[in-house]
Amino acid sequence: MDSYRGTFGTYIAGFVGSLVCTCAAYYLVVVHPAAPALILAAVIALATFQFGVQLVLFLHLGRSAKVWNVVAFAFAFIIVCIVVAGSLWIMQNLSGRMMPSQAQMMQYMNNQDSL
Amino acid sequence: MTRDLLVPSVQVTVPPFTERREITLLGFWIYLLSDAIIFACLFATYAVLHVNTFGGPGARDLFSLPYVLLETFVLLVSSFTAGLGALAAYRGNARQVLGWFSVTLLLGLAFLSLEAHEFVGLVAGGHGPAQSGFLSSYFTLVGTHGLHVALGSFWMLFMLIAVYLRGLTETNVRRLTMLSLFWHFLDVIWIFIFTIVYLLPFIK
Repeated sequence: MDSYRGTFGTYIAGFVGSLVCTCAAYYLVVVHPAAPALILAAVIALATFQFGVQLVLFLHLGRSAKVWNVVAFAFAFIIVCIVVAGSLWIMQNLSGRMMPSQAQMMQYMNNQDSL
Repeated sequence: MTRDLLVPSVQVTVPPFTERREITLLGFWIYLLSDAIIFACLFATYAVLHVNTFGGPGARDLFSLPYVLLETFVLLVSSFTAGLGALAAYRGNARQVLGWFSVTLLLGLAFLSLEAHEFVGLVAGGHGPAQSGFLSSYFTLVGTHGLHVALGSFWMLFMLIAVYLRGLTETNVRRLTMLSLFWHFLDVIWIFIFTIVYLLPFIK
């Protein structure tokens, strides 16, 4: 980002790390060696790890003496979390309050009758 | 008296930016972060709309994982070669800079061809962005990433010409640093496209 420029070694490490994460995630999804919930968690963990690897080894976040890059990143990270989590939360809530379909209403009325 | 009010009473202890290069790179970094927020909005849109297929095909019916893995490899290798190009620029080796960034440009164009081929196939099969909310958000998200790669490729072409004509001047090295940051940033965005758009729907 500024004074820190990385070395051949850090780029090799970033490249190999990303390659391993990509292949592992691909393998998990194609071969399905475990339960879906476990695979889902592992694939998300691999993506997060690869994100960290590339952030530090390719984009050199936090590797220079100046802190402004990290401060700006932290701010943007908060905004991204608010945008993504907030959108999903609001839309999920809205979807739950939508008028149910004909089939859902019949189901609901049948359940009422049986009480 | 008004003058006194305008003078800050507290000494600001922020370390000064000694070089123009540092200020420019911080500014470019802030641009990248704001671009990340745009992508976050598009990811949120995709996350909300991806179930709305309107009776049409979903992600599992349309995407081919081996093809996407190939795209991912091409972009990842190009990110690596861009980094090697930046290192060559700091060493002052213009021939290596031209070599590595030419390789990066070719890989970028290969990625764009693969993605264009994928898009053309989808539209030709009647699954264009107008078919469903899922496909609208898919084309917007992946298309915006592709547009960035296309603009980065143009930038890279101009930088190759600039380095060829003028050599590794201070300005050219600064711009090559920003270009390699931009290219790494696009690969970071692709991690999430690869995982969220392509991999997750295939988990049964």
